[in-house]
Amino acid sequence: MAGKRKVSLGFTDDTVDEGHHIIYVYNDDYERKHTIARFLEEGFLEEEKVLYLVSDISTSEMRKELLGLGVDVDSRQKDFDLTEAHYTHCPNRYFSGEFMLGMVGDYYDNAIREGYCGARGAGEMSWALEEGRATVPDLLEYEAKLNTILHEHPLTTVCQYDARRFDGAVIMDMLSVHPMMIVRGQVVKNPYYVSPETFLQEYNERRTRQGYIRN
Amino acid sequence: MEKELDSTILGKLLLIQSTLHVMPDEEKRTSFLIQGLSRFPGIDATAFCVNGKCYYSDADRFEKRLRNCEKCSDAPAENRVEHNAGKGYCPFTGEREYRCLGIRTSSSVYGCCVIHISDESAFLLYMPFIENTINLLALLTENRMQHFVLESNREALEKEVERRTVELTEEVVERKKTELLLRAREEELSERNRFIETIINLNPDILYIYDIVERKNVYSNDGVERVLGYSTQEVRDMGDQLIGLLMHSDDFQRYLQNTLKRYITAADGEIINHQYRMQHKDGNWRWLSSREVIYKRLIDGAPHQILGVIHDITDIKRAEEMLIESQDRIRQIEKMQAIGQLAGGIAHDFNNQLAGVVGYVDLLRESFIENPQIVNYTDKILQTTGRAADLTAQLLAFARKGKYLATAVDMHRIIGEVVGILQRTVDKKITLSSRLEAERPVVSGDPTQLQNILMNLALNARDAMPDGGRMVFETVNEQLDSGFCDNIAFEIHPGEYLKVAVSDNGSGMSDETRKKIFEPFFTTKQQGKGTGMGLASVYGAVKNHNGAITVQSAPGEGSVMTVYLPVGGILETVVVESPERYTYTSGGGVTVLVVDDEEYLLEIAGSVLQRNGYSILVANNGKEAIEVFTKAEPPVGLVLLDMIMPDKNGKEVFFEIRKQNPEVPVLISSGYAINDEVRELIKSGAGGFIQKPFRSEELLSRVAALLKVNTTEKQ
Repeated sequence: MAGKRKVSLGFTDDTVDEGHHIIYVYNDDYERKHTIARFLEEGFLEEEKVLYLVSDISTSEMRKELLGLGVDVDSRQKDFDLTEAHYTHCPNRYFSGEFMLGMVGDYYDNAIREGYCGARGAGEMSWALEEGRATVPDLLEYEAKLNTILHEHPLTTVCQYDARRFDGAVIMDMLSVHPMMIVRGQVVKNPYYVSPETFLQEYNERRTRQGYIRN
Repeated sequence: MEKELDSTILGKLLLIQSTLHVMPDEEKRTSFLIQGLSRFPGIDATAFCVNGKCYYSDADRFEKRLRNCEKCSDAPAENRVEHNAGKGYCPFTGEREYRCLGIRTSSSVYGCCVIHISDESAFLLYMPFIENTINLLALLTENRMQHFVLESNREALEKEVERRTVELTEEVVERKKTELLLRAREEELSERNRFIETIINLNPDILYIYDIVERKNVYSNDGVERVLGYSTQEVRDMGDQLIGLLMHSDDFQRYLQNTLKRYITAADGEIINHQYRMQHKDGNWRWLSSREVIYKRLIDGAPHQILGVIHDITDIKRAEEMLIESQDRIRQIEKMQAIGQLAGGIAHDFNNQLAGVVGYVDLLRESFIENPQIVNYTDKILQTTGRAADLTAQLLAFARKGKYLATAVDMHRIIGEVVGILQRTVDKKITLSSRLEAERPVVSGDPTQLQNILMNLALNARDAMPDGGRMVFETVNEQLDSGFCDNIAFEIHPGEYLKVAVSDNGSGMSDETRKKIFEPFFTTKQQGKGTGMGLASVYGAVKNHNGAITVQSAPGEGSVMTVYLPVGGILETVVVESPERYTYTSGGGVTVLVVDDEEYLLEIAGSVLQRNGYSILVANNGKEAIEVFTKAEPPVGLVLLDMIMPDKNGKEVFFEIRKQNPEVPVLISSGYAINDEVRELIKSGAGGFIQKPFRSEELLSRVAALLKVNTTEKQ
């Protein structure tokens, strides 16, 4: 595989390799929206196909908010896909990691086929808190495997976890499966990140030993 | 060999510390930190006891050992955690594999972190960093608590602000309501004031407030300009001179003496009325009526300001004056008419008596014609009775019983004649002059009476100037309007008049005298110097000519007597034959019927006529006269007919006789002067008129003239 393309994330001057899997733990919606708006806008500038999975509000509300934040999504409708997160994550109402991982790979490949330089996406993860949607282990497993998919289909991804709603222990686990993290407006390498294989092995052992994880 | 610090592990701690800031509450932070620390080298499991609540990474391993915590026991009492709460979650430090780290800031302890050590050397290498991270948790917890306190305070403050805002808003709304209400009331008040001001100024009267202490006008409406011509400002500028400047001096004295005293004694609400004159800005005097009340008093109760209404009563006063003048005029007319009627009656009766005297004296004289002494005496008696007859003639003139003739008379000629007589007779100290400016000096009237008018006025003027002076005759034509005619004590009508004025600069007369000068027998002259009939006859003569006379005079300022006579008009000429005097020689047996209600006149006339050859029939009333006339044989050749008789008067008798014999001559006699009734009979064929008293010769002459017998010569 050729060397990965460097992409700008928009909210920071630093560039990273495309296909990074970034976790964004936030507790301030205003700050988050501004950060994500710059991330998506930069995608348009870099001739990428852009995906946004919204969970907290409707797609039309999100479109208005993005317009309000200076992202001209109306003129980039062809380049921009905005959909509700649970539709993609939960094709049969229940979370399907396999489906989602397939969708991510296909999205990137289609973008390339359509002539885009690449693809980037961001997703709100609050849908996972809805009762009966997903369990933490399933989610962790998916997030861990996603790193492997993104290696082959480098869709630059930002997963947004609301610190006000997710349990601290869950967030600590999620840190283990995201190699990059946004901290105070900067993207940094996550020292807690472990390879998907290692994480899944340790995690399974821990699950066997503890039998309880707060959700 | 000493172990070295792993930068990855330090990075993990930094990441934990950064992420702790994002965690919103103690529970999430603690949960996050437990999971983070559990993955550190040398740490097997971790538990946190924070603010009385336990969190742990491995429940099975901690549940049996959490019994006590010395670190927590060191905490200040107010921050000490009750570790016995729950299921004995407080960590027990007696076992060597456990470490308990305090979760504390410099000021507070929030709990402890119990760590199950798997590799003490590895743990101890990072313990300071771990303690630092744990203390960050304490700081965040403290910040959070402070934040809660601040939040709660902020909420309380916000609630207070909100409450106060509501209060203020309500106050503002209330204040605005009050302001709006006040403004509405002010506008209403202002509107009401405008309304009142407009009404006050629409009032034609003067509404005013007068300060009787300062003697100044405090307020007056626009009525002051309508009534007195001065603006309200001009009135105010007059200051304390206001009343003195404008009020009539006579009324001002009354104001000072009476009205001011009434202010002092007036009770509240008592209305003080007074009337007075004030001078309008144009100089005219206006009669005003004030209604006043005490408006303000001083502390001692004395009147301070009065509020009043002044009504202009000038027109009412003028009407009252005109009414009084009119009533005076009517009274004067009625008085003069009454006097005239009385005087006429007296003169008539007196003439009848004189006729008896003259008749009998004539008979006596005739009987003793040869006795010079008796003739002399009878002549003296006849002279005296002649003067008495003149007096009664004047009375009759006053009573308008003597208009003999109505012909065109040139008053300039009459004035010339009178002035000519006066120049020969009055004192030379009196200068006579004439300014005859009338272009139409001709009037209709009796020249003798008109001359008598001027002569009497002239003699009156002469008598007013015993020490000499100036007497002026003036004429001018003047158009008299209804205003003049209605305001003069004569029944005259608008039209062109000849104005004849006789003026003197003599002693003049008082108002009292002036009002009486036309009354019969009124005189200011010494007894015996005047009869008091001169101006009375002037009055009668002027009225007889449908004219008027006015007098302007004041003591010491002379007099002006002005006679107004209508110019032109229909000349009513009655031809009265001038008395032709016949010398009677013999009656020739003609039968004369003498009719009179006075027996002595029947006797006298009968005697005179019988002595001179007439046959006499007599009747002492009208009814008898007709019977005698009808039955007379031979028929009556002349009738001497008195006018005033009981039963049937002379006029009725005349017409009945004329029915029987239209040719028989009738000589009318009367104690009155000739009048309209006699004039009618003359027009109807009566031969003539002889006024009592008459002399025998006059009677014989008039009878002879009618019979045209034995006429010798015409005189």
